[in-house]
Amino acid sequence: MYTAGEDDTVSFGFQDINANEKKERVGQVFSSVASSYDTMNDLMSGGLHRLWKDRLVTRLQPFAGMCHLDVAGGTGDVAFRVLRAMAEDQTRQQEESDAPTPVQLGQVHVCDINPDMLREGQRKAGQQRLGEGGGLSWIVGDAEQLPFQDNSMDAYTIAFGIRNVTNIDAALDEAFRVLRKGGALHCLEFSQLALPGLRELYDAYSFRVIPQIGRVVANDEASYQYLVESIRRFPDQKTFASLIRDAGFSGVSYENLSGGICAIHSGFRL
Amino acid sequence: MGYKIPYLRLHAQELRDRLLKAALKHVKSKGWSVAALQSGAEDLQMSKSISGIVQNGAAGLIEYFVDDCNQRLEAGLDSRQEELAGMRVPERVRMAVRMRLEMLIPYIDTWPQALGVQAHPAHVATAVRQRAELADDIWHACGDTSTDYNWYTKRGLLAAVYAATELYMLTDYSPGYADTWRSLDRRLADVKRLGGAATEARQAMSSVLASVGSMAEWAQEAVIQAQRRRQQS
Repeated sequence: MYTAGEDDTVSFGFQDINANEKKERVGQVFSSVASSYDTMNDLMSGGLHRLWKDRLVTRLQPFAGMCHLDVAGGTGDVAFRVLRAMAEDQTRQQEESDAPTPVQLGQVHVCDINPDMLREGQRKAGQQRLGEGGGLSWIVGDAEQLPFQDNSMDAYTIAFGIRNVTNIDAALDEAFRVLRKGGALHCLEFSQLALPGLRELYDAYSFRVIPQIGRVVANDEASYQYLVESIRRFPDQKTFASLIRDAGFSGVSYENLSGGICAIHSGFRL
Repeated sequence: MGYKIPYLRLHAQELRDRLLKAALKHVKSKGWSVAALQSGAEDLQMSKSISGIVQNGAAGLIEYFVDDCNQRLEAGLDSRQEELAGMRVPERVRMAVRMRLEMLIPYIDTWPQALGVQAHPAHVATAVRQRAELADDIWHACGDTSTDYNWYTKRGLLAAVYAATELYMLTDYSPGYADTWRSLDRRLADVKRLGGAATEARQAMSSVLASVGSMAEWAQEAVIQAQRRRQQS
């Protein structure tokens, strides 16, 4: 298995930089975009990112009492959806159950390397009055060295995050480590469009329009230039699926969204 | 590393089968649902998250059950070949359809729900394929050797008879489903009256599609009736 050492070069958008430098550079990008992150997502994807995240949570099939870990989920977009679905299942089970003991809600752990992104998520949770009765926790942590016990999680999601991790293999190994037997990994990430024609159009949009939106709305062209470049550098569907298999996951599959602009990869720890 | 990957894939398929089998035990209480798969996972002492390994969730569970029933029917007919040889063709068909429908009895309360899921546009193609396979298996076991357009007519008509009797069965509360078997006899007599050659294959196939399409309405009605029945008992 390939592991990036300190002296190896890794991609930062279209540039190749030192592995130990990537973490810092990605950190700068996300600290810089944190406050406008959600607005930008809406503008860039035409609101589609909401549907993609909904699909991720549908695929996850959350249940009451689950221990869920959402990595790189600072602004809480995925975590809030998971928590709501867990609460729905809790209500459903409570209605069906005759037992006097209440059905447990479970816990969603939001783990992000960037404290600025987490603060943004906490602010949103407060606004939406989510997790007031527990069920949400916010942890600063690195996807390559998760601050969680072995076999402690029912599921692991990462949405638009794995692309920014320096060493993807290490992050997948960590995901495998923290999952229980039967636990699921679901990864939503930009991927490669399969249709010629559409791809050229998408490229033109990505390289010409997105950095300009970034300049006007977020006053930060460089960060969004990094975003589109890093999407192109990320492995295609099949290659990424084989990386997941190499980390030990079984039953690995992927589902393309919007013709392959994104894909959800799933794998299970058996 | 090379040997590890095919081993793991085999393992996933094996586990999927075990999970589906375990989930069937919960269909009576949880319905044809992801919740049934999750309860199955608990029985296997795994995280409920493993339910995601079955593609299409509830529809995947139904697909597995139908495939399993069709396979059991094929094996059952195979083992009764001698008995079949002593019967006339319509009697053989009757027996095969009845054997297959009897497999639904343990799940009859929740079967309308399954038909509703199958009638969803996303899953209807699978349902049509499975019904075509069933008709093919039955005709094959009953000794049909036609290769002309009759082949389509016969399969189409049989699929229609099966679907009509299945729907009848959902609201049949007679002891031992006696009314259902009488209904089956009537449908088979209809087919005989029509005469295979007189009916065009196109017509027959469209009747199959129509029967699948109307399932949702039927299923809904049957669910209401089943609920009423439960409330009364």
